[in-house]
Amino acid sequence: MLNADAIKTLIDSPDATLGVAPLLNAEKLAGGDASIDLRLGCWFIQLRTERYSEFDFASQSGHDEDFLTQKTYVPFGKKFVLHPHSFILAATLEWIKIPNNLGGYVTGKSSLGRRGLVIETAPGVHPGFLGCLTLELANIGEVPLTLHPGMPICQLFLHQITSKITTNAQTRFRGERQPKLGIYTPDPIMKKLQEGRNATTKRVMND
Amino acid sequence: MSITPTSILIREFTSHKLQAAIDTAKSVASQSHPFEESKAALVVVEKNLSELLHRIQRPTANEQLLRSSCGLGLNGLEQMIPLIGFIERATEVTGPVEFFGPFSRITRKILNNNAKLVLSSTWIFSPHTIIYPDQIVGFLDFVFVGFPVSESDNAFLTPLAAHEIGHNLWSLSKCETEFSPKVSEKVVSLLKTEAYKNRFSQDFNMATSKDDLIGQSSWFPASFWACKQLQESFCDFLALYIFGPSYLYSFCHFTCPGTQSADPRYPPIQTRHEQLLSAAKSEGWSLKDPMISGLFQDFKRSVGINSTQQDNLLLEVADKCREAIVDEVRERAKKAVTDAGLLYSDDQTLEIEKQFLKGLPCNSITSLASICNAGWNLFISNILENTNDLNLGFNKKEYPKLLNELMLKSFEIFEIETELKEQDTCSTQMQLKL
Repeated sequence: MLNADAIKTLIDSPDATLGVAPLLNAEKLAGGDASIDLRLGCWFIQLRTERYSEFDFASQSGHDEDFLTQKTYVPFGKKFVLHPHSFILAATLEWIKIPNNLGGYVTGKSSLGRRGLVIETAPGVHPGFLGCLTLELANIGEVPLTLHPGMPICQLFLHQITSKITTNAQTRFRGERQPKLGIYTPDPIMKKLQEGRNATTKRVMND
Repeated sequence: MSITPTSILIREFTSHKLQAAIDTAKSVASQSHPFEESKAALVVVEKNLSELLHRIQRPTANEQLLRSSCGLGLNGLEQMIPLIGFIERATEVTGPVEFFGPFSRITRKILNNNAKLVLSSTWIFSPHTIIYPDQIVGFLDFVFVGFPVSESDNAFLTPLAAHEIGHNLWSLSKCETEFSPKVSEKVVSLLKTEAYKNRFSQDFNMATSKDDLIGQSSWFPASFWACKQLQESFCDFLALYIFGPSYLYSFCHFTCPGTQSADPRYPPIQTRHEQLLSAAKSEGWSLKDPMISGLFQDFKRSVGINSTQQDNLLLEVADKCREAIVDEVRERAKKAVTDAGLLYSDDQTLEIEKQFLKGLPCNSITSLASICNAGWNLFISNILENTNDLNLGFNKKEYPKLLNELMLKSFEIFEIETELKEQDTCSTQMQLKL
């Protein structure tokens, strides 16, 4: 895991191999931390639950993001109330650039977690990532939580990749400043397993 | 004298329409607006409509007065309804919302501290504003900018917004009053020259005199059009001096290769381009070569399909008049921008380009315009030079989208840094006072 000094060195390097913009708490990187604090951005995405009955992961979903979701922009100084048992997507305020020899993960802040705010359940950040990180926020507590753009929301830990990645790692979420639902595509093995089971069921029923 | 049943009906119909518009304005105000300025504009809309309604409902026995009040009410509705629709679309966040903060600061510096910006996405391609602030009571401090819906989140078009501030400034600094006598003088002197003297007396069957009221009514359209053309030129120059070459580029992107529209209140599109180009060159800004010439077709100038010989003569005179005075207007625009401390300088543009090439938005920037210029320089280079080192692994089609994201994120960072800096300065001043 990279410590604060190593992170700072990479950020300050002339070719900016690692990038975090804006870096509003740069002074914290001079201390003993081993992560970068990230803040909540202004963009939010809510699922429009009235428009569909389920996400069936056996079929591809997410192509119709504009139909499935509602985008909200909350400027600094305004708030977003996340009610108990609600789930939203948000983005980090910081635009991140991860070089090909680093990977990372995002975790929530314990002070927020203890109040019911769960942040980021798919925390891996791939080498070559570029853009604002999409955060999955859920209020699993009993009390509504008021979120403010600009508040510290999570932290990013970084790791060196032991074996070198030769090509520019392409992830599906690159170069975006807003949160994204993204596309879910079932993999071929899952499809085969499902089709095989369906065929068996059909045969049994016909017999 | 009593009011006839027909007039009572007219009053009721107009009252219903006005009341419905007031209710709609209230309902739109209660929607979720990302920025409070839209709500402030709706308050003015509601106030204007309520005054019109009040006037109609005032008891009167004068039928003529009632009908005239109803006519005014209908005119008011015609102005306010598009505005309500415009503001309703400001609730959508498809536009460049990150541009709002930094551009509001520019608006306040150019106009005054009360200036309010309303950003919307409009359904019509052009123009970028739906109302001119001097045409409706109560809106002089509002700048309405509507981005075309198909490109509402296009950061490259944002410099065009500065043109709209020009209309406010033109009204606030009473440029119309200042330039109008000069324009009239010039129109008359042009009509007295050999080139126009005979044509004018033949076409209009009269001699030219500025003081002759009958004569004035004949050449007034030329004077009116020249004034409007000067206003449009002023707005172009103001935006150019604020945003530098990026205004010229976004102007070209938006309008080239030009259409055969013949609105006499605007200079021909090619002329507007030439005026901008000449002003940009005299500032010594480096410009991308293909933006310099050949982008616009030269259409035949005429008032319209059904225009008469008289109309076309007056338009020719109006164009000549604008040409004679435009330098004065340019200087006026430059002074306004310089006085506001916003005159474009390309000091930071290269630095931002380097940052964008690393795939990062910029920070520690002192001018919004530099961000736009850096983005435009890279965008044009990407189209013309086909260089792969620009694209960070993105294909040619995706790359402008990445640049757009980097520009919008940079706008946001610029706003955050400016806000934090202002607050630090403010708290230091407070401490010094204590």
